[in-house]
Amino acid sequence: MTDTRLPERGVVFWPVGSGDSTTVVVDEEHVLQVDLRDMTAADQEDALVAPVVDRLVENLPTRDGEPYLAGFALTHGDADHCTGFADLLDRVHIGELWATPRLWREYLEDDVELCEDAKAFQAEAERRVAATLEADRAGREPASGDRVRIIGYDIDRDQHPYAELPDTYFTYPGKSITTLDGEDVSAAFEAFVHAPFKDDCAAARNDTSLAMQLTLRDADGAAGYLLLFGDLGYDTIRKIFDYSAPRRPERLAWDVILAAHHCSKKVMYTTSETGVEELRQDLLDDFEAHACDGARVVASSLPIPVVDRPGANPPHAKAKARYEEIVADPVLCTAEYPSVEDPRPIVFGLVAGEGLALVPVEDLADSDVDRAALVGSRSGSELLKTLGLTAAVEVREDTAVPATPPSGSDGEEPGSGLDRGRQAVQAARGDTAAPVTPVGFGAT
Amino acid sequence: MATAGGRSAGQQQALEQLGQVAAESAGAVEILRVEPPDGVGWLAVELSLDCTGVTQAPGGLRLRPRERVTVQIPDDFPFRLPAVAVPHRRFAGAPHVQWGRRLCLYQAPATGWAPADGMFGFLERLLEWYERAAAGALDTPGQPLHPPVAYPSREAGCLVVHADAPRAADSPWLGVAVLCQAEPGRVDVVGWLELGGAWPVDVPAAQELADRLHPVSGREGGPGVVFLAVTVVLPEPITFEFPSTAAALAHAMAAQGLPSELFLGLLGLVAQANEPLADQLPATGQTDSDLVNGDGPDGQDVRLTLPLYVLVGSPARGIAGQPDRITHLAAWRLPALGEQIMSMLPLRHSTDPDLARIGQRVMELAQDWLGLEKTAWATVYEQRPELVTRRDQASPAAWLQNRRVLILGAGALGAPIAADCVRAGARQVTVVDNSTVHPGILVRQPYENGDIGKPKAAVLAKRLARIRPEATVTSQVGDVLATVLGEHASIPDADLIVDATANPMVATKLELRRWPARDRWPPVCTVIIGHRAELGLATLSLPGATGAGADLLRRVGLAVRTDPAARLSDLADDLFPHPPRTEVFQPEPGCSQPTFVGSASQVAALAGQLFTGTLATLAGHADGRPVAPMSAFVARLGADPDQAPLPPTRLDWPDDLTSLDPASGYEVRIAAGALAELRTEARRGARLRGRKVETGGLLLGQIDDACRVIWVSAASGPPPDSRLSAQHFEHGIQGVEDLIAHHDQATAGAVRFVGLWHSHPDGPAAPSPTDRQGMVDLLVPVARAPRRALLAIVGGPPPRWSAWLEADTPPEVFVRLLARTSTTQGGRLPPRAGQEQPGPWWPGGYALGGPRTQAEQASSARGGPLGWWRRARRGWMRHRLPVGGDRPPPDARQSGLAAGRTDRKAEGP
Repeated sequence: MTDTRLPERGVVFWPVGSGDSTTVVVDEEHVLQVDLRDMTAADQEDALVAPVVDRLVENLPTRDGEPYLAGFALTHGDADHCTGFADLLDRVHIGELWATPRLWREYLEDDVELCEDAKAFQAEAERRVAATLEADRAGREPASGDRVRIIGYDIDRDQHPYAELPDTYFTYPGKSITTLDGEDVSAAFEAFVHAPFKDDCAAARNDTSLAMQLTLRDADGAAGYLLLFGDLGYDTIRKIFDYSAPRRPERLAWDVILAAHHCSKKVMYTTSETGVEELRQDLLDDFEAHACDGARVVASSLPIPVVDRPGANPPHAKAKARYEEIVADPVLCTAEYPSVEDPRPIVFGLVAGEGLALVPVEDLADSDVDRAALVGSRSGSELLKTLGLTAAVEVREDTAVPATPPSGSDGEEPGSGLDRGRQAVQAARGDTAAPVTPVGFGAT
Repeated sequence: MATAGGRSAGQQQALEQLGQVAAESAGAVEILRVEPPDGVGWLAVELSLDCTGVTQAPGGLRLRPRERVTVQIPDDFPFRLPAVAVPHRRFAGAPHVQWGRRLCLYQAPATGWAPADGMFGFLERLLEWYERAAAGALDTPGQPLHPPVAYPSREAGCLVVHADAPRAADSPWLGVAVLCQAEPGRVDVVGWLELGGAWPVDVPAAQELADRLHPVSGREGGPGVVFLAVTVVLPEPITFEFPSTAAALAHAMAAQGLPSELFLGLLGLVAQANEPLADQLPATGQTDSDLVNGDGPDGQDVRLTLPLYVLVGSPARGIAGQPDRITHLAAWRLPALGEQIMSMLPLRHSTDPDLARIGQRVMELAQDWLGLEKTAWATVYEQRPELVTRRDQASPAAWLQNRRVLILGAGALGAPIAADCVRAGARQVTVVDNSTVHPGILVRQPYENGDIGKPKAAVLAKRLARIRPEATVTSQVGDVLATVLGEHASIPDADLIVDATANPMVATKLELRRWPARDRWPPVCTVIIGHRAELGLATLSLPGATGAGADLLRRVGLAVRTDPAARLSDLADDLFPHPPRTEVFQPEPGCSQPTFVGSASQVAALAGQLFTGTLATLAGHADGRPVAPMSAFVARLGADPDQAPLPPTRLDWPDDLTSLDPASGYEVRIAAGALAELRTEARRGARLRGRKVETGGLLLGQIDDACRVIWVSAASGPPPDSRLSAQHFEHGIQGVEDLIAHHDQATAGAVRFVGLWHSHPDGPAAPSPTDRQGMVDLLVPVARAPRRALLAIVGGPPPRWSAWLEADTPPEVFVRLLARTSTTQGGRLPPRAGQEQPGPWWPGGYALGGPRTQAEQASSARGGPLGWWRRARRGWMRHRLPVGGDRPPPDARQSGLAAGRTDRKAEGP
């Protein structure tokens, strides 16, 4: 076997179609799940997806014999961010929930459709608020499994019980979280909250997404940065940069950015009042300005089309193209990595000098780790490896392979992008060569 | 996409083409943004190119998966190229990237840019640029490297570098450039002096040095103001773009082993060395010279100082893939303040501690100043031999490089040819002409209104010297006949003489002066143009060739009349009309010189063609190719749209067999054709009548008392009534008059009776006693006996005689021009019939069979007068030279008799 030891900390992006499911391995005990989309629980779309809940149950560290997830953060209540939560809650001990006030607001609104898993999350959060209040009244810390953290501020908070929680259970934009499930993990982890903004609390659901910069640190000082913007669009992200870039640019640094809203072009295009789509290069320039060397963009989505159809949902080819202009390497799409036919989780590890670095698929595949023997007691490194592996061996049994590759090509690859550009020139001109010039002025 | 507001039609077309490509590309080429035209009409289009899958070489630019690029489309697209820039500095420093962001797609837009292909071709170029950038192949092996770019500023002026630049080995080369300013706004670099070597200490030394390094004899005032410039040649390239700040430049130098203190020290040293040289400048600040620093306001008296330049070299010129790199030069002109600071730097070496302290303080100031100053790069024009390839390198004009040319006549042909010589790099050009500029010639000669009344030669020489001060251009105002060709003039010291006087007397005197020393004369070219400037003729004689000038013009005249295909009839009608043209063009009625009718364009075209044709022959000769000693080149404008243009024609001739008649001092020139006639007759005689039997015949040509030359252009065998024996040759008279008349007519009088020849087989080419008697009698076979006649005897001892007959090596020849005197009677040869002769004899003509007796002679059926005449004429004709396009291969042409040979083969012996 190859002795490729993975880093101790890292991030796993699961292939779950157009939805988010991000697992942050802080250390061998602490794992944070940001959003969830377990497609086995919601059989839709022709996607090759990973059974995230099953794999988490199999591989998470255990406490008291139970799979243990230190925290679960829900950026917002859309189904593509929380599908399978009820199943997860059943099967895994979740130490702490991170919730935004938005869920409570929506719970009160009649015309808002919430999916079952969102309702389950809301109910669980509600339960934990009650449990925490009770513990607080009893003068003790809430127990693991009862913990909840409210991120962001809503002007209607007084209508909800969570408003009574002590301040320590709230985090507002501009603040950091360095504990998980009540345990101090500041040496290895920090979540800096950028959004939701108070002013947006009544805006459309996507615009109230939780946005964070997650930092992973090693004892030797190596740090890696992940920017998560949920389903935010241009306006809110613009606001984040406008606010933080001059004051705390380090909070915008990134090794990995999860392309917001499953690689939506709404991040860098806006529509004018006359219906004209306008490119907002300013935000892309800001992304680029805060990118670390070797930064990567991850699109958690279905395969990205070659050309956008009008009005189509994300992922958008245009968004991918714009991201690819600001980084040195291609966008990584969870449905295409490493291939459309056989997607695997995208694993980043924290590497000294590089920050969060992509773990090559080979480093996962070449392992002959005895997964059974590792259950229950493993390092962060082994955890990353097994999470990466599980999808690789199991995913195809659960889902159907799409009939045709979604790239839209006829199977014959025309070479590089520049070659395709050249072919387009020739197609537009109608000839392979320029028209003959009548006179050569002493050519050569 | 927004409205078409403000876009030109060309921009609209460019956008449509871009849109078509984008639509076909499935995202490979994406239009991100189209901005309205800016204030000066440029339309910016931002594109995104898919660069995934591009081969990335280690030395190449690292491309992103997609690259953004802004194309600026001018309003007069496609007649001006779009400009391309990238919105980042990631490519800065790469070859063909300027100003850090601009991509250089077209090194030579004239050849690379196809307006008809518009944005299609442009995009292909752009895509290729990215491909090559990624592959690190923007400089492909074998291609000349694009030199680094130093963005010039106007105030820094310009430099012309004449001297090959030093190269650095492992450490920087330090020294000075020797600069001359002779022209306003420009400085010439004429040489280099290393640090530690001897630098000029005063003005005379500086002037002498500049004169020695780069002589400019053609410039009034010599080398101009001479001074020194700091020069640093670095061992490694800096960047593709030269630094725009002094601090960056100093940093780059420091990185290559030249600390800024040392650099500043060198600046101070040079500023100090320039101080005594400032004596060359005017005394006060009242000057509009751009050279000086220190102009005071309002004309105040300010001591002027010389500017301080820093020349920075780096090994950057060469061929990609080859290690040898020539130094690339950039020049930074320090502003006045910098120059003043530098001039005070040497104070720190003062023995006075106070002064030294000030000097040290100045050094600190200089360091500060260096950190703030922007580099003002001068425009550098290269004229270094190591770098610049002459544009006429592979043309015939390359022959002229470093040659000395004497040009006779500064008119319609002479003046442009003289200019051509100067431009082509001639070392010395001398123009001789005795006329002055008058208004009429401005129509077609390169003179100006202000030149009227001045001598042409002087005006022309002065103007030509300005083209290349390195060339020595001199003039002689005077009559060519009396000066260059004067009685006591020595052989012209030149590498080429061009007679452009169009004066027959010059052509004649040239021939007279040349032939006695023909081996020591340089090539001689005579150029003339026809009376309507539709064709022109250039003749060329190489050193040692039989004739030049009038001789060659005569040969051309013969050739044009006797060309059976009449391919030179235009030349004949134009330059050799018969009867001579009576209507002549006199531009100014009265006594003005007749001249041709023609325009400046015609004259320039013909001058160029004629001179190029001549130079091609000279270049061929210099290259060792077989070139005839005498040749002519006919150029035709072919401007008549109703007539198919005739190609240029080349004629050439082998040398004649020349023999001096010591008695008269005339040279006899037996043309190759005539000599071949003699040989044919001698061979036939030997075969038919026996080797020992003499033969002979007529000599036809021309006696020229001006040139003192006798041309034998044709010859014949013995007329039928001749008597031939081993002891004696008696010339007959039958048919002779007819033959002579034929030649006279065919050549417009250029070939007439000049004398008689006979052979002395195996004997000396010297007159026998009988010959001597005949010379005294001077009897000739023509009715109107001329005053003079040429006697020629061909002979030679057995080996030489045999060699002539069998191998065509020249025989011995005796020539004598005989003239009637009081002691000679002269007259016509008497008829032969009835005279007794001892021993066997043969008749002339073409009779076959054995020897005859007198009785047999009358019954001779063959060789009658008519048959002999025809045969003789045909023999002469077939020795005319081939003309026109269907030239024989060079080896055959060497003798000039190729056509004759062919004929002989066809006819049989």
